[in-house]
Amino acid sequence: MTRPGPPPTITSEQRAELEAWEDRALSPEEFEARVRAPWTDAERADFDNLVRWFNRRYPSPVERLAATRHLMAQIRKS
Amino acid sequence: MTASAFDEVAFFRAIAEGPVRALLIGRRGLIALGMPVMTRDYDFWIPADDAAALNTALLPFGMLPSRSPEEARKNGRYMLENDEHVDVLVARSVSTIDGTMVHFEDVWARRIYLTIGDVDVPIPCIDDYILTKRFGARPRDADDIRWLERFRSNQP
Repeated sequence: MTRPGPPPTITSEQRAELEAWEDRALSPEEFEARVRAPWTDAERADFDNLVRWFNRRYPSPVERLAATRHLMAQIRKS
Repeated sequence: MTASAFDEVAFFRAIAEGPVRALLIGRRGLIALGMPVMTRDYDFWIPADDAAALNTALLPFGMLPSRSPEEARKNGRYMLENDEHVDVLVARSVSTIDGTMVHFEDVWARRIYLTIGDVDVPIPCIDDYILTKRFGARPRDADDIRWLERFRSNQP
C-alpha cells in the first residue's frame, strides 16, 4: 500500500478556466436536458444522505451559513 | 464558527429592519434552507426603486455599491462589496431562460421566511425559488433546480 501524496493543487489559470466553464451559459435545450436528466438510484441516495447529514450536523440556518462560510474561507486560503 | 469578523446575523438584520423589500435568492438561501451547496456570495432581488435603501442599510458594514441607484435600475444589476460580495438584482420583472416573465410583486406576495439567528429573512417560496434559478442558464442553476425539486419532494 502506498502512502497518499499531497492533495492536488490547481493554478490560478486552471481555477479561472474551471470557473469560466461553470459560469458558461447553456442553451435552453441544454439547460432543460440537464434539469430533466433522470436521477440514478445512487445519485438520489447520495443527495438524500448528504442533506440529512448537513441538517443533522448543522440544525439551524445560521449554523449552516456559518459552516459554509468557514469552509469557503479555508478553500480560499488554500 | 465564523470565517471573519463579519456578523452575518447583523447583516440580515440591517436589511430586514430597513424599508427595503429584499428577497434572499441564490445559493446562500439554499444553504440556509438546508441544501449542502457552496458559496460565500449573497444574492438579493429587490424592486427597481429600493437600491438606495439597500445601500443605506449596508453602509455600516462598509459595503460600497458598484453603481448608483439610477444606474443600477437601468442596468438591472449591481454589486455591494468589501470583503463580502453581494449581487443585487434590481427589477420589477425578470424573464426566465424559456421566456416566462416573473414579477417581483408576485414572488414577494408568496414569500416565506427563514429565521436566521433572530432575524426573519424573506425568501421566495420553493416553487418561485425554482423560477429564479431559471433567470440564469448556468450548469449550476440547472443542478440547483434538480436539487430543489428533490428537496421539495422530501419535505413533509
